[in-house]
Amino acid sequence: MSVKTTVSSDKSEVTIHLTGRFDFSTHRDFVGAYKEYPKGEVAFIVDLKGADYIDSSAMGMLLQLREYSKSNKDVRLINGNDGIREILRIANFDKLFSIA
Amino acid sequence: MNMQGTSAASLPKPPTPQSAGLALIVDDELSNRIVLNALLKKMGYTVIQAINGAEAIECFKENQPDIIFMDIMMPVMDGFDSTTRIKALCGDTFIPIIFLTAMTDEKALARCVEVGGDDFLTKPFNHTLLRSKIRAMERIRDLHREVRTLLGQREREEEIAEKVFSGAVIAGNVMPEKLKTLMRPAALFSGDVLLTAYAPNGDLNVLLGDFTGHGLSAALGALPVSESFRAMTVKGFSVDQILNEINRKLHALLPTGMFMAAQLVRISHTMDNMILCCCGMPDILITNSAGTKIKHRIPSTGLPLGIVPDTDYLHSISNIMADLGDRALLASDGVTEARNPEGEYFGQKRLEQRLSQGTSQRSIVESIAAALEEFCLDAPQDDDISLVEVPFLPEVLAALDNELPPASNEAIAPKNDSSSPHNSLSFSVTLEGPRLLKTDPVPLLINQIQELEGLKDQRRVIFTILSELYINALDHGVLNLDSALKAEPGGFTTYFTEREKRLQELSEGHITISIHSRLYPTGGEIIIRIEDSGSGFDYKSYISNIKMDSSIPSGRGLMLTRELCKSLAYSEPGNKVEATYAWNN
Repeated sequence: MSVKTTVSSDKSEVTIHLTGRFDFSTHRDFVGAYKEYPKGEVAFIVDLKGADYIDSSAMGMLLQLREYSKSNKDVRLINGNDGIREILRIANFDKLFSIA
Repeated sequence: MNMQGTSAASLPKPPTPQSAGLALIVDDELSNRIVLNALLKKMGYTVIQAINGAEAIECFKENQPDIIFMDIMMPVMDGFDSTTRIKALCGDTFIPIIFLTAMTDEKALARCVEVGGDDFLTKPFNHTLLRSKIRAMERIRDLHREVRTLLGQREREEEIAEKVFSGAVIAGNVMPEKLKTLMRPAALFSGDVLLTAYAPNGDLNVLLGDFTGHGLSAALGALPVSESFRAMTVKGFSVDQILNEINRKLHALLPTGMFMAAQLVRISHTMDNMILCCCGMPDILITNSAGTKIKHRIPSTGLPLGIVPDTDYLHSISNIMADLGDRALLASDGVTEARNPEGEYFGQKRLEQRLSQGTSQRSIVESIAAALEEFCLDAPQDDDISLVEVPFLPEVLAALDNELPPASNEAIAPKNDSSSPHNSLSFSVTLEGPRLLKTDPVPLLINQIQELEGLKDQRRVIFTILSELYINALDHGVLNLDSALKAEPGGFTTYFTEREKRLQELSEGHITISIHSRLYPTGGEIIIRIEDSGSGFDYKSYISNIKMDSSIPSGRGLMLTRELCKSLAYSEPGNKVEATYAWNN
């Protein structure tokens, strides 16, 4: 699992890129990645392009990120594969995140 | 050779508190022992000595040194063999062994580590280098000890917590024999929790929850959930009310990021429907009685519990008509996500294939458990695996009849009624219009009666009577639904859809419930009067037609009520009913 971040040119949007299994083993890196930015000030995008799996503790981390971001609706989950989108759908996370 | 110099192996001094520990030197050369002995003493060690590998083992058993210095070439037994045996004796205690040898060939040095040695140094050794190696070993040893202590502590704490957990969460479950379960946690503590309880009318509620993560922290949330689930089921609250409460509680208690996905099934005592709700878990499957065909899938329609404070699970609930013998299959995602040694997932497809193949096993759970075993072999288990099979059979319900207090239709007030003229209680409540949608007055009234009158054994019976009569008044009175609807093919769903629609649109109408109870020294009596705003129904033909016939999907509620009561009477035009229930203590 690896976690990388990129920042938009106006610094208002941070993208967290994930690869591999997104589960509890990612916890430190994932939290470390977004906590570099002040709470409540930026919008986050989680790019799941390289991720092949997501488990419930990862969903917990997404909820923590949601609380940390600028406003609750400001977390976008993008590029998840079919399996990941299915898991997010089962959890009804589309009610909490914008998923694209 | 003989022992030289100090009291050596025979009489070691136990390390003093200031001592760096007890060191064992194994070497057949006296001069080597003397040099090393001097160095170690300077570093604060108490030293014992052995002159060959065999003696080293004896020395080790007797004195349990903290660090060992081992020569390779020795008579009787060499350093390799000795190290292999000593390391085996160590178990999971870490006792560093440093090889000191004149041999310089790479193979021999590599073998030092292979047989269990922790480091090596070639002779003649440099004192500073050896001192550094010893310090490094001490650090590793201390770390090892600390980890062991912590692990031991955690193990003990988990064992204690496990006891409490089983006592509080598991022990409270009702476990009808026909309910089949497979609960295989990935850690000592499962993040999955299975809860079961009976409602006062005999309905069975089964909840399978899956907390984020697993282990102790995941299991913590199970305590408040089991408490709410059980208390509210026993008090007769509906599935959505129970879920709303658990959701609210978890949201208040758990940190962000922790939540519980859940599947809930309620088997109705009327044996015609089940109520289901799936929140963030895989589909609940309903199969035919053979377990081979999937009749319904209940997809996840609700958010997992504990994420958002104000969710109403009423809208996530499915009510389906079931046939005798149908089976509801609850499963955590640990089942479909179980992996084989190649890393492939078991998957929903394999699960459903297994179902369609049918099986010689008695239950679906056993059949899938066998399939999982074949598939996963010895691959490590990543997640908690839970499977629950709830058959749609009267046997899973509370044995209401057996637990009823003695039928007491002859319970008569003492003849001298005036002896306790004041020991009675009356109250009434009226629900109007939309209130009828929002409030289920039955559990509230039952709690009220229990609190005021202290009834305990009668609680379930009174609940059954009150809820059957109330639902009749609501469905057939206020909502004017015809129960003949249920008898048609697919009628059950039509009935409930229509009921839901009329409830939503309800703007007028009312139901009044009056309770009058009276306690005697020997027992008591409760009179329940219910009046609705409907135009009344043809209760005469209705009552004369109802039989305990399982092919007729309606009427059993009223039949049961009549059996339970001392008297049950409708009055014209059929929108008023009075039921009297009496009991002896």
